[in-house]
Amino acid sequence: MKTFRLLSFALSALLLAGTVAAKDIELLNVSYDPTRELYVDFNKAFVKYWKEKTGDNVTIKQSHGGSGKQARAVIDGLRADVVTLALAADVDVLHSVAKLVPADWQNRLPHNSAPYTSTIVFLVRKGNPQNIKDWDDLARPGVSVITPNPKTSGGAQWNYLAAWEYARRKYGSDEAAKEFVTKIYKNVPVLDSGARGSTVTFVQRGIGDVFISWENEAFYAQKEFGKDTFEIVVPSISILAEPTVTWVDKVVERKKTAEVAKAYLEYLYSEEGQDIAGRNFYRPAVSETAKAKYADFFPAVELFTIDEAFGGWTKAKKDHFSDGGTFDQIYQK
Amino acid sequence: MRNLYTIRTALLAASLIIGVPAVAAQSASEIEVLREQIRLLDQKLRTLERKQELKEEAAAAASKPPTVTAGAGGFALTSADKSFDLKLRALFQFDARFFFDNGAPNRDQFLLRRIRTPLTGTVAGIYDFNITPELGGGTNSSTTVALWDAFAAARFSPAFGVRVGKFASAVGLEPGSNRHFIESPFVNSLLPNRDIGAEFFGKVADGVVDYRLGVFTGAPNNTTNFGGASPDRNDGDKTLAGRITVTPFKSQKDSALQSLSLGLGFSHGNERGTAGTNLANGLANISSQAQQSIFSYGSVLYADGAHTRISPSIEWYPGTPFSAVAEYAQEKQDIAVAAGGPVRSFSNSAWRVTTGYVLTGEAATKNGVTPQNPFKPADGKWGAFELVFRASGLDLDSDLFKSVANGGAGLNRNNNVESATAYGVGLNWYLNRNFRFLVNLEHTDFDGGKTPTAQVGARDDETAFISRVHLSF
Repeated sequence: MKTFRLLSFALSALLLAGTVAAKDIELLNVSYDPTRELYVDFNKAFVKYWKEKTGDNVTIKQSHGGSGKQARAVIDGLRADVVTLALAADVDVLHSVAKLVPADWQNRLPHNSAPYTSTIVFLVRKGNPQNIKDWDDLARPGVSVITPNPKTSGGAQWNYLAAWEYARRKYGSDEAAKEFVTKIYKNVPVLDSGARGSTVTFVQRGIGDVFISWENEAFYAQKEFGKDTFEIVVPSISILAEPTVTWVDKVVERKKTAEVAKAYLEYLYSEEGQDIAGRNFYRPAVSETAKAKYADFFPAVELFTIDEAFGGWTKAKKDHFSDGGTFDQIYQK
Repeated sequence: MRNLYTIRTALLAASLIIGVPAVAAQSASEIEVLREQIRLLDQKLRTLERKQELKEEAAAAASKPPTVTAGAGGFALTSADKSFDLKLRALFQFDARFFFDNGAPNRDQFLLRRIRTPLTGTVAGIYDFNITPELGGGTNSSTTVALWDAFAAARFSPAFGVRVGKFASAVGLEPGSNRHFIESPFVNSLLPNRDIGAEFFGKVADGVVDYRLGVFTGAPNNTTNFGGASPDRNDGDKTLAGRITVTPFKSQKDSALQSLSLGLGFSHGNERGTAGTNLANGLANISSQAQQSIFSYGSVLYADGAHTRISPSIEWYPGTPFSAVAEYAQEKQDIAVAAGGPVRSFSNSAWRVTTGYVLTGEAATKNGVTPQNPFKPADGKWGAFELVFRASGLDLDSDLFKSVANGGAGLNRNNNVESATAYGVGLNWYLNRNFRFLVNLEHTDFDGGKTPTAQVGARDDETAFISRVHLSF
């Protein structure tokens, strides 16, 4: 009897070991340019959390670049388990061009799949020698402006639309806005492909008087180089930037990583995920605790949304950034 | 004199005293201007350097070397921008067949069923090609090498592409193969396998509708070559063939029917052969599901006129361990029953229902099963196991067996099977993505054909045990 029980136990242990052996899982997160530091912190936290929860080992590989370029890379075959891009429109093309995600992908996670938000501010040199106060100063002759290429960079599209809406409200028409944005782009000496490239241009190469920057990039520059090297100027009005995240259905189905990929993105909405976002200079979108904790840190600014001002990303992209759109009309190489 | 000298000296002194701040003021503003010019020049220089840097980065990115990969999907060489890619794959199948009936003796055999080395690739992003030789088959004393597939395709958009060459016909669901069982069902005996032609293809309506429509030479049923003389030779007629597949519940995410797909394959055209064998007559023999020849049109009959096929199908791979496929085929073909003699229409039909269940819980897909725990006995991992069942039937036109004088084709029902019904069970063991071992046990009841010749017929109802070692990448 004893032998039988021992044998049964051994057999069960063998079966159990076969079924519960820790799995090694690898995820690829294809993200936009400035989120490197955010995901270094976040990935560490998620790996620890998942190990404690399931016993499985997760390795997360990161890819960063201009948001539009990254979306095209995924369409061309880059096997991203998740995408964490600068704007919803860059995720929409994963559906419209390649059916990698369903049409209603944005409804699958809270807050329209935007776990954190940001906005656009100006980074200027110490002492603000060109006396930059608002968007009008960027259009002044003699002011050198750094901003990335909106054809490849999601951040640059936010910049462009923020300037456009400012001018449309102040000067009363789209024609006036177009003229205004044309003046700004005449002042741009170098057009990088992504936001991080523009940060290098302004901060490390010392080019330009003002950098139209993601808020988090501006804070990073101050953190890295010191508050006495750069100053942040908050414009009178700016755009609510909502970078969106989703898992890539076709990839996770094939790689059998759906469960982990979803959990990874859901963790961005957890208290720890939201705190990590705040720590990395992204405005937490859902956690009231994190919002309260970082309330004093982020400057108050009047914000408008892409839906209010431009009727949504699909229309904005078609009007401004598609071939022959307003950017092509105003910017000549 | 002394006064002028004093006044000049005083004026000189006064002018000197007044002149020093004026020169200093002029220098300070010049210095500011110079400083600003230097600053602007410095900015211009930095801008030029940065533009050069970005140009070099872009050039470096564009000239990145191609990637070479070797994995479960084969061996591949891919350009950095992924618009060029070359893949070398392989398919190796070794079968063992054993018969447990009172049929013809000496049918048990080992054979190299398929040995293919597909060379596939993409050029310039959207142009694909496939060249697949078949090195399997042949006899005990020789090996044949044939061209299984050879085609090129252009994918202009998800909704529209063009394919030309020799490739799997769209009429049947699984031409020349079967997802669940080792050998094809009877349905494949009435449908084309490979054909030569050109077709349009694509997905529309958000991927809900998949279409293929093309014009082809018009291959005889279940063949991959066209015999000693092309059936197309005498008339130049082409065959219109295609398939439309609809996944009506595709957008319903939580529905169990989301992946249910309904298909309809069809073909119509004229086919003309000449009396003779080896497909010169344009009429293929029919084999049992264990590959013994059970029906032959002989050397007198030949294809001579319209050949129409229709084949509805249902496929269901719901993303669970369960899967099911059902297919029906009907053909109507004009056949000359004697040299220069009357041409008559004959209709044949076949069907099959296949189901499978993955015992180890993985999802069953159209391409097979990917084991969650690939075979590694030292770690207690055994791969994936799938139990499969199949029922299938074949029903040939009874007029084929009437005499020519009575409006038939004059075939001998003693030698040739008129109908068959088969039931089978199998176990598919997926050791990993590339290697599997399959076993099938299938019993077929025949009606007719119990007095076989050397070429055709089944002496007895067939009970076959077939196993296969399958390696592919």
